Amino acid sequence: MISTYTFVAQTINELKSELAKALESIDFEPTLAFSFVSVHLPLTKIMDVFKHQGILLFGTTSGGEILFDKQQDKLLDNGAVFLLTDINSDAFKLHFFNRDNADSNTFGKLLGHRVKESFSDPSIILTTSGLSLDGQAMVEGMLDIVGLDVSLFGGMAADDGKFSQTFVFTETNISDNGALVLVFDNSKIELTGLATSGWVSLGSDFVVSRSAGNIVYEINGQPALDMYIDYLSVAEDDLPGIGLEYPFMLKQDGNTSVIRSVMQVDADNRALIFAGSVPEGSIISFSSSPGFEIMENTRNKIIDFHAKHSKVDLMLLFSCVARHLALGPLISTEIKLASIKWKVPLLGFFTFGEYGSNDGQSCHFYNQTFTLALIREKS
Amino acid sequence: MKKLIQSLANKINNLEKVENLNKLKLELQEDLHKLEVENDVLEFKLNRSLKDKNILNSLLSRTSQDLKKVLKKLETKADELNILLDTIPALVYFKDSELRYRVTNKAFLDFSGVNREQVIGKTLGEVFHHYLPVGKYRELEEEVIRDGRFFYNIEEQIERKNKKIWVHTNIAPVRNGEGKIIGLIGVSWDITSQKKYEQELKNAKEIAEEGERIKDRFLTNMSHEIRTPLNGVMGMAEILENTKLNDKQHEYLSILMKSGKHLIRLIDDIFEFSALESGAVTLQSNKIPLSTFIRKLGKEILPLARFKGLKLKIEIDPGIPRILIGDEKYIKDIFENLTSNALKFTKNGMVRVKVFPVKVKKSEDFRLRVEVIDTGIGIPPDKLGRLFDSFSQLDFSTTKEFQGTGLGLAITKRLVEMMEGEIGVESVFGKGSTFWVELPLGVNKSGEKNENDFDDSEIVDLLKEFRILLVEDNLINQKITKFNLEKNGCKVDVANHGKEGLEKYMQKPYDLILMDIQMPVMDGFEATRQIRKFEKERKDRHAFIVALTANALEPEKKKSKEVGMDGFLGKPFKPIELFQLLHTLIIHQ
Repeated sequence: MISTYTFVAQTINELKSELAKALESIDFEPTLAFSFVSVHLPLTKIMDVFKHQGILLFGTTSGGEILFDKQQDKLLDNGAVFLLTDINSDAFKLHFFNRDNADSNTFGKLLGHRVKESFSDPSIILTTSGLSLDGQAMVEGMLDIVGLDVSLFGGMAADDGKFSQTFVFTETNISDNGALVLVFDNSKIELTGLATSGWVSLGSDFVVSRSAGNIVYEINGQPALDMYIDYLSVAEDDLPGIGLEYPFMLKQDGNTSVIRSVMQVDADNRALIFAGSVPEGSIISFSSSPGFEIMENTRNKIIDFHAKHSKVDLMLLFSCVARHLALGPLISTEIKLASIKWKVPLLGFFTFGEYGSNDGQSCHFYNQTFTLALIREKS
Repeated sequence: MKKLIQSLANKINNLEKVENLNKLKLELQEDLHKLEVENDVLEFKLNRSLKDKNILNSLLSRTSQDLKKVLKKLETKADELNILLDTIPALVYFKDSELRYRVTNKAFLDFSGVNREQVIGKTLGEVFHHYLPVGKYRELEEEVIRDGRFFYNIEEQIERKNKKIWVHTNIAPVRNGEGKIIGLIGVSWDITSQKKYEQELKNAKEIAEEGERIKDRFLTNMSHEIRTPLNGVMGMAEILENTKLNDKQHEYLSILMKSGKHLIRLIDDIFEFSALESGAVTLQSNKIPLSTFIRKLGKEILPLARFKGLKLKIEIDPGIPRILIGDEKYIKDIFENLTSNALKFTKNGMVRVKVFPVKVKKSEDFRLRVEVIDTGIGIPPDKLGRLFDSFSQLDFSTTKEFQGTGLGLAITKRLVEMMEGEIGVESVFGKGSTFWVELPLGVNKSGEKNENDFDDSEIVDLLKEFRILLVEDNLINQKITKFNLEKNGCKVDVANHGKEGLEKYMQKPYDLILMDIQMPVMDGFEATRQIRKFEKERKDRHAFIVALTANALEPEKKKSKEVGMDGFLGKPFKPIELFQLLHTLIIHQ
């Protein structure tokens, strides 16, 4: 069983004192810490603190920080949440990557090769930074190398809704255009999880007339940015923020669909840049949260999943920023459902996108989901 | 929230009963906090709903604009389609699967004399019960709906003012996106004028065919009229040749006979070409001992070569099968045309004939190539192209110099094409030419003896026993034929027309009757019919009947067979031709 210790901090000094307190009180030696931090905090100083303690750090900037456990239910803005673990060093490898100029798919392949080198039977926790990354193309590249059946969960770093600069970091490295890959040895650590959305289609369908990867230039023959503004009567400045709340639903084969949120605006080309691929010729529609019943979806999914996987040591939550915007203060109710069910520490953040899968399916890049990763040391 | 408010109300109502005010204060503070939280949630929900409402309103309004535009487009499209439908110069209608009219175009309504309201939703029987053969149409349309068949129908119908018209109707099933038949579409045309035109064409064809028949009759008559006196001239010349003549007379007679033969050849060419052009020629399958056959032909043309001081060399490949199957007469014509042509246009040197097999083409038994190589005048390259055209000696100067109709090569080419063979020429102007033909022929695999492989002396001996009746109205021809046959030892009686011939045969048996066709009192066809009838009744008589006529055209030959004649000889004939024919008849008997 993995030992854990959680705490929150709003300042660097608070972090130092909380960590010192933790190290005094816990009866295990921390090997790996998870940290989800507001982009407002001095990231490099946080890194130094863990480096000084010789603890490996899995850090990502967030759009809101989440910590639920026996002692506390915390949803923070501009704060930081931490989880110390004693996961056996033989059971995981932590890799840091800078994307540089690689395209998203090639970058995914690069990550995949490192995963494969790490363990013969791996599972993956992944966070990525950068607003131009095509999450779907990256996942596809990665799975090309690792295989479709790998267990993979994670999230895209956020920056409190500024859509400016997001980061992933370890105790020694930081990147605003990179990835953190925590690879578990599947024979020692079990990684499972679920992803649930509940977003519904609004209005009629449109055809993506011109696109390249995750950049959409034209929809129904109209410049994509103008089309968005025209149909929803919003101001250009409202984007990309409003794009998180009212994203597009991309129809896929077999009556399935995924949500694609706007991450950036290319005003010169009147284009919209999404967090995942939007193929040319594909059918899309606007979408929205249907209201508070999406929590009911999540609740049912959690109950079903708990029935199959009741034993876990800790949970990581990657919940879309848009859910926070849609549910407001009720977002904690949704998270509390998971916390109550498993009664283990839950650490997470509000993301700009999620990586995850459901039972029997391969991993995809999503927006608007509640993606929960459950970690357990095998006995 | 309601519960919370209720709880607060209860507490306020029971204030006078409160013992511990501090506890109440704490409880009220807690309730207030809960109310604040609930208020926050409600406020959020309200704001959220307002935001959603604005977005949805905008989306709805914008989508509504789109829908209006699409609707407008669809309306325009529908208008266009209706205009097109009404402009189609045919009757168009769509019926649902219950065979009720759903769409009709203007032409349909105009033609039917009804308005749209009288048609839409109704069946054929309900709209046109007094005009159309409803039952038949209904059956066909039901088939279209049931089996998805297409069909077309042409029939005469009665228009509303009892005017009869011809209508062509095509009917096809109409399927929905899932392939299910939801109705049928019908398109009808008034083809009355087309039918009228067809009838006119038919009439014109009959007139043309009648013209063709008149032409044939004319040619038959012409053939008879020209050949009869010519036959007389040539026959008498031959008789004259057997009398004592001095050198001068012999020379004049020789020129006379040469000119006569030339004239016969010209006439033969003209009639043969005419027969080929009209398609009246049919090919026979004869067994031909090719080597013997070619050598014989060589012998026949050798005198002409010698006369011109030319060498004639015939080379026959030993690999050629002994008996081949083809039309003997026309192969002979081809060979003669090419060799006599070569001799005609060669002044010095030689004419060489090479006969050899070549590689067969698909589904052929055997392919024979004949090359006739001369050292003659040759043909300029620019003239090669039209060499095989009718009336095409190279220019009038050659016609004058070399004589002929200019039909020889055209006839040869048509004959070769009829046999599905090929013909060609290579030539060097001033040095000579090579004419070649390739003919697909059958191979006689049974190895039986050829019917034409006969010994002249044998048949002449046989004929001495033959009793021959010559039925001929022309006195000159009577004399010539009788003279020629008796010269070869035959016994010949003569009748002046068909009736007399019949009477003579009824009185006395004959082995062979040579029967002219065109005769006064009773013609040769009728006489033959009567003779065959007589034989049938008697049961102990049979004579070979050979038509002997100047009418050498195919329809006449066909008719002679129909009435029961055994063979056909064109006048003037050589005794050897008769003997050869008799030999064939005797073998087949």
